[in-house]
Amino acid sequence: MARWGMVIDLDRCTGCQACVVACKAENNVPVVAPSQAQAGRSMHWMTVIPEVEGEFPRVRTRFIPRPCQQCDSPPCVKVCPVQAMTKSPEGIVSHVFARCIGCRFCVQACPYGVTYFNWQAPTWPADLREALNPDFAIRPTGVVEMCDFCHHHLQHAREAARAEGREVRGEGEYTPACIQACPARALIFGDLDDPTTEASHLARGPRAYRMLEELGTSPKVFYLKEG
Amino acid sequence: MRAVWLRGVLVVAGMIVLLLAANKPAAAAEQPIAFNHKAHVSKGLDCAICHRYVREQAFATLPTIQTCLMCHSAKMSDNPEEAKIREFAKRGEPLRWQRLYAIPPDAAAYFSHRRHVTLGNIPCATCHGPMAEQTTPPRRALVRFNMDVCVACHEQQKVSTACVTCHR
Repeated sequence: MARWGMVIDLDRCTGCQACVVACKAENNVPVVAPSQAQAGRSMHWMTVIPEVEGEFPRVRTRFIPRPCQQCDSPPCVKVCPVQAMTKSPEGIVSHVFARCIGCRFCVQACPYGVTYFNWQAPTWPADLREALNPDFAIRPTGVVEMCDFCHHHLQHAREAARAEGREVRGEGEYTPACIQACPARALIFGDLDDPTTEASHLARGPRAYRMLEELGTSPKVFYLKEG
Repeated sequence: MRAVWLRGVLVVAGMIVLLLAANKPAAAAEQPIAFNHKAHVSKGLDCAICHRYVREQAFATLPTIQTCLMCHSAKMSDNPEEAKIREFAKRGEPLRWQRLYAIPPDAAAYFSHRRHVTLGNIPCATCHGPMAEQTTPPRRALVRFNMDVCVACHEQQKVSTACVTCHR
């Protein structure tokens, strides 16, 4: 069975935020009012963290795209009292919104800060309301939401593969929206257990590291150090 | 004194009416035409002729007036229900079929007909019951559905029961 993972090449990321926009559009992630954003209630399932190094005039900015790290040993799943946060046999951590009681244990447990509690009913500008993605649910208010590697893309890929009587290919067939949108090809996606995929090759390479590796969460998102 | 007594009676009567209204079962679906499934299926018509795209897409459709007119543009029987088709067409009024099956929006489940009918080879009757035998449109879904029914079948067919297989 495939073990889906992502590789993020920090050398290639230009910080354009195409992945952030693609994620928002794909998963119907609502936009919050500026006052709410000030209170730290904005939601970005995928976000680009800028890190400024040095002092003027020698300043250098690094960009770190940060989706859900899709841990192999996810703390959010362990703490969820109602089993709304689950890990599928293929290793994808996702959230069943209908089950969530909004206790926010997972928000506390996640060391990466990728789980978001939606405080208010979602609102969209009038034009955007017509452009919502029907493949992904609009969350009820008062639940936690997070990236699930665009699991609905996997469902479509699996359906196509099943129609042809084969397994989903390790690469190219199932790709989350952020990866499809990345113009610099900084994000690479594939089956980590399949040695032929680019993602598994890069994840085993000398440049690869994982965020807060020492915590033992074993994320399936690998970062490639800048050269 | 009498006014007080009358007022008391009115309040009690009002409460009874409210209670009755609250306990009334959900309104049963009334269809625009009393369609006879049995008569059509026994003539060899396939479900997909009227419910187009049931094998190709996630949503099975309900027939439009044009679908009915493919056969019924001229009179075929003395049935007054059949005459209704041409009346609807004459008025240019669409057929407003009432859906009997719907996934509760709170469940946020994804259901694809193609995945079940074409890829899973599941006959329509497994979920829709003996629709082919119905001479009048049923007022409620013939098979009562909940998640247990879905999970039981998934387990039996050895399909994934991971939450994200259906929930989105």
